[in-house]
Amino acid sequence: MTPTGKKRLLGLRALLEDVVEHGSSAVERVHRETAERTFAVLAAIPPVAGPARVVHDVHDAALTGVYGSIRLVNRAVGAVLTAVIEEATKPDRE
Amino acid sequence: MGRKIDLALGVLNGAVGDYLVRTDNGLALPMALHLHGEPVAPTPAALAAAYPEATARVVVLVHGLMNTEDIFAMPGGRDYGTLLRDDLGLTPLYVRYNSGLPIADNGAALSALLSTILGVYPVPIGEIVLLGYSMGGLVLRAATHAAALSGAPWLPRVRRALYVGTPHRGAPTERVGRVVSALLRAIPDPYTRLIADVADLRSDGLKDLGDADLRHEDRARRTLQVTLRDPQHPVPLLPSISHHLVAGALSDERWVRTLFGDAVVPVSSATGWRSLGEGLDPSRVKVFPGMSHAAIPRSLEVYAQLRQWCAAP
Repeated sequence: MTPTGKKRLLGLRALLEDVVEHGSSAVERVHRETAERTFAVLAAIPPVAGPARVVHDVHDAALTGVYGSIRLVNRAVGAVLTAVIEEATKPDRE
Repeated sequence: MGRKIDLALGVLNGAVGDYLVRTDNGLALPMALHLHGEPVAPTPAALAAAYPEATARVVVLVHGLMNTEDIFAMPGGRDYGTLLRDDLGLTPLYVRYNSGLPIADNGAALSALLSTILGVYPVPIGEIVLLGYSMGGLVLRAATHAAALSGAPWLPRVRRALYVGTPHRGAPTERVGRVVSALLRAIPDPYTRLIADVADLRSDGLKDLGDADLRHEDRARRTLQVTLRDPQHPVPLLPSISHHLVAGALSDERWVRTLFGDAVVPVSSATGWRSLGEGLDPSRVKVFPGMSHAAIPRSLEVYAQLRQWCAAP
């Protein structure tokens, strides 16, 4: 593979990783802001405000965990792909 | 396969090329001469090998947004460059660049590239003809502006510039998109803000098309107004060059020309001589009815006009 081809392959990998990273962050923000509205309504109703606060905290923790896991796996896959590309394009393999 | 990858990279660079450069991504296209899809280094040896029959008259072809030089290709392997070579003896130099970068940056890079080529071209260059399609015309104007400021040695060799479907007074669609994006962002809703975020990912080059911003300082004056005209263009056409403007129109109907132009660039923008300075001869402005923006960079009818302009003393 030519140096340009390798550079482009690594670029494609980086771009896909960026898309997942920024895309998941954007969706997480929308998810969080949308849920915020519902919890704000529940918090205004005294009988359910207490339990709603607990559910809200659990929800936020789950949200952070799920989207954080997506980004973590994404970065791990990106690192593996980089290693694979580097290995596959070593001069002695051509 | 290679051609398809090149086309895909051209589209990608036009869409998010500025981001690719900021993140040092290998998919970003560097500005370079290309011949038969391959880059030609600006060195004496590479140019001599690529152009064994180099002539003293050259035509520099610059493609538009999200394109490569392939946009000029006609059936039979011809294009405006090869036709001008065969008919008038001009050597075609095809420039490929990252159309997502600011037009000012591409203009400065093109000026630097032409200065380099001038010194290493196989024969002394006597005349440089500039031919830009769509955004490519604005890049050429930015390059001549940068060259005039820096005293670049190639500029005195430019006698004529040909602009094909170039939005000299900006592209209304981009200005409308700018306003729609701002409206979506102003709505206090996470979903509309997400759509605005995605819309605003479009490249600097694309945003520059809205008002045909050729300089970095022009970008600061952007306003959220849907205006169809840009009467105070700060970068006039250089008076030392003979400028020739070609516009397409979907139909000869006056209202179609006014509203839609060639479906991308309004006729008033492609022929925007009223705002481009004094002295542009109307005979150097040609409108082709029934010609879309996609057809205008590869039309024998348009070529006949370009040839006539290039053949004139």
